[in-house]
Amino acid sequence: MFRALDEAAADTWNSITATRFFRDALTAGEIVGTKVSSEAGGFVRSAGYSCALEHDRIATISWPWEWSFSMLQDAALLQLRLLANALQEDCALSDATPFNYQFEGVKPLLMDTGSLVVLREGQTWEGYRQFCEQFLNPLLLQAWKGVDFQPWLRGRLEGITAEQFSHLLSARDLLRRGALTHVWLHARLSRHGQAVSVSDSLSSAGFHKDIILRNVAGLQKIVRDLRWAPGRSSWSEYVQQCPHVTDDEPVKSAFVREACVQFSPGMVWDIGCNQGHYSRIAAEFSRVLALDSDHLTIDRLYQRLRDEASASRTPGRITPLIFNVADPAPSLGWRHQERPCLEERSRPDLVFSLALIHHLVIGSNLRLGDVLDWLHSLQSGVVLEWVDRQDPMVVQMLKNRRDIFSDYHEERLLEELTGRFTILRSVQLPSKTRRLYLLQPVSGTVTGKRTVG
Amino acid sequence: MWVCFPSILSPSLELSASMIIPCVIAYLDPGAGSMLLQAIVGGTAGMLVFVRHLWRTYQAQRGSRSSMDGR
Repeated sequence: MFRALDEAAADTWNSITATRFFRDALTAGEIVGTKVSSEAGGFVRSAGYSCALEHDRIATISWPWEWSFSMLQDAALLQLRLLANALQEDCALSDATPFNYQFEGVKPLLMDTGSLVVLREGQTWEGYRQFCEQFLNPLLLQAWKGVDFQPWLRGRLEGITAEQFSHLLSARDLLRRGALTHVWLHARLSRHGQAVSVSDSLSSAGFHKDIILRNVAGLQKIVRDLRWAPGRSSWSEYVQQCPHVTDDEPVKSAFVREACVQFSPGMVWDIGCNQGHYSRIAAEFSRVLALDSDHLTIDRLYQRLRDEASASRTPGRITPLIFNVADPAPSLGWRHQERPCLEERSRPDLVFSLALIHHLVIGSNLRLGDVLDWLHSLQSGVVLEWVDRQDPMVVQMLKNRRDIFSDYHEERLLEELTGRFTILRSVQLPSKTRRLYLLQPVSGTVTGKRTVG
Repeated sequence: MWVCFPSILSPSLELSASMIIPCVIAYLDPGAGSMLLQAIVGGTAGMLVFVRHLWRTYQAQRGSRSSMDGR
């Protein structure tokens, strides 16, 4: 990825690269690897630009509605740390949106080097409101109210305004650190227009960077102390509650490992990853997106991977993300191109669909053929775990609802696979109610919206 | 100003709008209320700046009313 800079932006870039905070952050991997590109230099100069920067490739771009609480919290703390360090050398980060950050494995990094600017004398922190709307208020919503922030960020790219959030605060909430100022007062001040230019007035009244530093230090304390620790969710205790998970695990692990050897993937999607056991096997061979629709499951997985990565001083190869196959986030933003959906940002070479199909067909009322169509549209190998009707989990799912899933049978699965996938291998699991299939997509066929071949 | 474009483009091509990754101009409205709040939460020095700002605003409004009364 290249970035073309005009003369003013190139001057700023030269000033930024001369600072110690920038060099330190680059070395620590907190800013995406960036260098001036001689390769694209002539190309951009012919278009009227001054120079070109080349950024290191980031394996997968993700959006904040795919992050868990701890991921957003870590990105917020990185933003505040970079800003505090930049201010020491009269620089700043002009904006403060989570879209400027990406995860390499489980390590957040700043990818928008264009947001690094030189601070003018008397200038306020321009990104403060954005930080509150896109970092602070979503985190407070989760930590104080126990409400998932992801649907809010997905519903409004600009985040949660102080006015909106202030309506959710109880009297008790107002006593919490930061509630009265960053939310309640922020909402009231935002309602009123000002008769004079506030930036000019504050500047001439003596505003200086130490005031920003004081604010940033306060925000760091608020964000660092936030905790979201619900006891459990629908899926967080899945492994402990289901005996088949332990019984089948050795055979499944061997099957998954063989699939990785056979496909030599560069990217694996582990859909419905739960505790990430099979993601870890895949990570021996490939980068992995560990996907699950359950927020708490992803948050716990992220925390474990982060602690391990921190101990080994590597970002790891697994990035956990919240993703619901039955309710995926669409492409959003200007002309639906600003924030593309997952399938447009990442292409897997191998997909794990382990203990997932019954949840999609019976739990989410999706047709078996439609689920296979979607898997086929990814044009990757698939490890599919078929869960039979006699399986205790399926029996449990059908206990309190009318069984309208007459086509949910393994014979039907084999019929539906024909024309979409070639079965490379299959094995029955020790639980006897489950079977693994290794599938290769048939190319040159039309499935769903995508034409292949 | 800066624009981003993917590395798969051949440098021999001319840079045109269609090659540039769809993006919106990165202008950010910091919000007048948010700027004032930064002074309020910025400790004693920040409060002093805020009080000075209030005094100047008051003087500006008073001056504006006086000139209107004198018309």
